[in-house]
This record gives sequence, structure tokens and C-alpha cells, in this order.
Amino acid sequence: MTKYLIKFSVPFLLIIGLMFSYYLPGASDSKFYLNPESNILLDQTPVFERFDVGVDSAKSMHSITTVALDNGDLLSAWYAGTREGHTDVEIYSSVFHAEKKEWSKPKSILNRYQVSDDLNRYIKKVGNPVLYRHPSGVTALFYVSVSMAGWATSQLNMSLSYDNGQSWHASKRLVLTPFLNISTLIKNDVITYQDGTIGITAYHELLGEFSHIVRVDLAGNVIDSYRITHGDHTIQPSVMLYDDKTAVTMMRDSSHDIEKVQRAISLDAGLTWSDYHATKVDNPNSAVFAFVDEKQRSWMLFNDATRNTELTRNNLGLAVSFDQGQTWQTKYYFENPEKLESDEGRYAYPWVTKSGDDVHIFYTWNRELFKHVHVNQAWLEALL
Amino acid sequence: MTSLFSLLASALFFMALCFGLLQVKRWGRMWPLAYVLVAVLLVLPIGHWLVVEFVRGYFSDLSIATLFMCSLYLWQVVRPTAGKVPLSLHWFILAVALLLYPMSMGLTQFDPFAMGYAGNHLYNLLLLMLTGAGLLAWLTGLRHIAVVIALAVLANGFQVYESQNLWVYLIDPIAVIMSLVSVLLKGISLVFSRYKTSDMKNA
Repeated sequence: MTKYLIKFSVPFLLIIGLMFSYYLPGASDSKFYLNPESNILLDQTPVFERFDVGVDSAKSMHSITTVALDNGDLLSAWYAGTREGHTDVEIYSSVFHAEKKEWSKPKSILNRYQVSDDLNRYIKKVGNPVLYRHPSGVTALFYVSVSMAGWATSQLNMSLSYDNGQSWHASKRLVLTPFLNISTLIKNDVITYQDGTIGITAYHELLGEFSHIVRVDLAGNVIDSYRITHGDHTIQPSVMLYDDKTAVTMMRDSSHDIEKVQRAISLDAGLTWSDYHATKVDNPNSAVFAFVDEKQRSWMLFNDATRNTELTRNNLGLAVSFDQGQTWQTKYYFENPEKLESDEGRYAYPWVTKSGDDVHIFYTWNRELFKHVHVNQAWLEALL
Repeated sequence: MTSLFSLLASALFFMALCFGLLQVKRWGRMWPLAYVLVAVLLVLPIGHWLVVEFVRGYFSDLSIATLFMCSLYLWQVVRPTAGKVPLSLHWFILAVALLLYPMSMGLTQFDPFAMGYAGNHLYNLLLLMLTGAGLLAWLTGLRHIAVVIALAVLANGFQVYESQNLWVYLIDPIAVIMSLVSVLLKGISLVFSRYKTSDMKNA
């Protein structure tokens, strides 16, 4: 009897494992969820307002992210500390009160000790937060944590808030690579699928440098991963949705020779992507952010420079495209419009949050603060 | 619960690592002392963290292949006559690694790692292939491979770690490094033994 038990134990375990593995929850192919169209007032006047965020709150700050709340306020998050990658770096949050037109005092919402306690492991530093507002009203915070060395060894985590960012639930780590789960990062906006699942626009930085969409549910279970690119120089994808199946991504080029913004298109809701191609837009290995306006035009924020100049991030341009990101025309500069070499500023990591007709543009200003520029659809129209 | 499994796995790996470095196999009857020493070391606090949390932070969730090899090694300390990890398991791990890692790290547009998620359209194929390989290994007497596959599929089915990916339960870079070292050492010893034999014949 014992002999037979031993003989069939492993096949038995295998079959049990197969059955439980087979019935794990998956997700069917789904379409993109598009935000309901807002009612554009045709006679609205152009709006252009500037605000500063996070002034004097830390020595160094970077990577701002924002979502619009249901009452019209904005919830923001960024990382700040003595310097980038320092162990004292924490993730801060602030709220923009739309009525008062002012930002609240920044408060820390996450540090490496809290993350360590949530994940039961050593965490060396945290960074790159990305906020996301689910159609159900839940706010998610995605951010990277590092246990080993530099940013290339980052791991991606997720935390949820059910009270508009006032409090955050324990973080959950997402397992996204087979190599000690290291080297998944996030910078840009997250997309939603019609079945309620989330598409994280992630990128990889160890050995290969490429972009992919990680599909997760609100509980933080990873369902699938769709590769946008492969190879070693396309990171920080910024995805624009045109309809429930069509998406275009603009990507930062991290190589030393191409120096152009890269583009790829998907016609099946992000499952497969075309080969990526360099556009004619200069890119000095810096982040871009692309978005679609209320009239289906594409807009992109970027540093208009190549590595031939000494200061590659001392301007910040806004370009428009009428052919889904294939060709671009620069229409405005938020910083250094004359592209003066003498401007020693660093304007980086743009972010855009749309709220109806309103467009809120953010970027890091010399690592000292963040600029918030509030414009509207009429202002964008006036640029054309 | 997933943290508990992962911390236990990290503890097992750290124990095997310490035993290897301290050459506990040569301690003879003193081996229980090594177990106690390493167990204490594992829960030693350094700053905000325990040593075992550092291990988990650095090495992430450890695969069944790694845990299986570490377990066999630790068992050898208790029972020196116990069998070693067979070379066939090492070759199996290296073959899987060769298929998985280069493409997963960006070499191609196809990402085999994504196949390990339950939502992927190739997930069922991967699951069936692994189950088939496990049964075949069992039938052909490659029982160590069968045990590793069976436990990996089972661990994936019950999602004992944070991961929802089948590959994570099967192998990891530590298992690959251990297998690579074992295969290389075996190769070197084979070359040397042939060299010695030919020397003796010539003498």
C-alpha cells in the first residue's frame, strides 16, 4: 500500500496543482475604458493660470503625479527628500482646492519603513509615484521601491485609498519579472479596461530597456502583461487612447544615438503593438507625456533638445499632432521659449491631468518645486 | 500568509547558504549547533529589519527549484549518506532558464514570462506542457525533476507567494546559478579525472 502511495504521490500532486492552477481567475480580452466626453462650451474663454506646488517642503523633489477628484479638486503625489535615491526620501501628497485655487501643505503618505512593514522585507528607498483614479471612485497609488541598488532594481507596488487619498491601505507588491522581480518602473498615466481591470504603463531597465502594459485588477492581482516594445532603448511609455481599441504610445529614447521620441500603435486594445519608430521630435533621453484633447488631437510635453547641447532639459515644449502622433508641430514653450543656452534650469518629468475641459500640466522645476499650469480646451484651440 | 511562506523560504535559503559557508558538513555531531546559530541569526534585528527580511528584500520569493536544492543540501548535513541533487535536475533548470530569461529580459517582442499569468492566452498551454513534462519525468525515472515541477504547479495553484506567475514558482536566478556552478564543477572534475587516468596509463 505504502509502495503504491509513494509511486503515485507525485503524479497526484501534479494533477491537484494542475486543477487549482487551471481555475485561477484570469481576464477575458477587453476594450479600453474611455472617460465620458465632457460638454465643451464653444464660447469659453481661454484660461491660463500658474501655481507652484511643494515650495520649500524638501531639499529635492521629483516625479509629480495628479488625479482629479469628483468635486473638482486635484490630488497630487511626488517623492522628496535630501536628494534622489536617498534613504530619507518619502512620498508626499497635497490637494489643490479648486474653489480657493490653492495647494494644501504637503504631507508624507509613505516612507520606506511603512513599505517595509507592509511588505515584510527590507526596503532601501522609494520613488516614482503614479496616482490613478478608478471609475469606481477608488484611488490607487503605484510606486517603485528598491531593496538592492539603483533604480534599475526597482519593484512595483500598489496601494489603495477609499477616501480620496486621505488614508492609504497596506501596499501590495506586484511580481513582474522572473529575475528576482527587479527592474519594473512606472512614470506615466495608467489606463483602464472596460472590465474594470487596470493597465499599468510600465517599463523595464535591466539588460533590456523596453515598455510594457501590466494588467492588474483592483486587488493587485497581476492578470497579464503585454509587451509594447523590446530591445534596449524605449522606456516610460505615455499611452493615448483614441477609441476602445486604438492606442498610441510615445516613449522616451534611452539610447545614445537616436535622440528622438519613439512611437508605436496598437489596434487591439494594447494586446499587440506595431514595431516602434522614431518620430522627428528630439528627445535627449528625457520623459515625455502625451494626451488626447476633447477633439481627438494629440498633444505632447517634452524637452526640445538633443544631447548636443550641454543642458538638455532647460526648456519644456508642447507639441500637437493631427495624425495620431506620427508628425508633431511644437506650439508653445512653458519654459525657456527662446531656448537660451544661459538658462540653467531643469524642467522635467511632465504630467497632465484632464478634468472635463480643464487641462492641468505639471513638471519638476529644478527639483526645487513643481509648476502647475492650468489651461483649458479653448487655450489649446488658440494655439492651433 | 504569502509573507509567511516567503519568509520561511528565505530562512531555508539563508540557512543553506550559511551551512555552505561554514562547512557544517565537517562539524560531525555538532551540526545541531549550526541550526541553532543560524536560526538565531535569522531573527537578529539590524536597524528596522530582521536578517530574514533583508534576505527576502534582496532575493525576493524563492522558487521551488531553489528550495528543493537547499532542502536536499540541509538534509545531507543531517544524513551525510543522503543523495545529492542529480545532474539531470541541473540541466533541466539550465534549459528552462535559457528559454525564459533572455526573451523575458527584452531580447524579443515575445515575452515567455507573460505566459505564466492566468490571464494570458498561452497560460493553459504552459500549464499543460509543464504537467506533461512532470509526468514524463516521473515515468522515466527523473523523479527530482518531477517533484520540482509538481510542487511548483501546486504552489502556483494555491498561490502561496505574492506572485500570480507560474514561472516564479518554478525557477529563479539562484537556482540557475547553483545549477550552473554544479554543472561546471562536474565538467571540471570529469576533465581532471580523464587527465589523471591518462597520466596513470602513461606512467
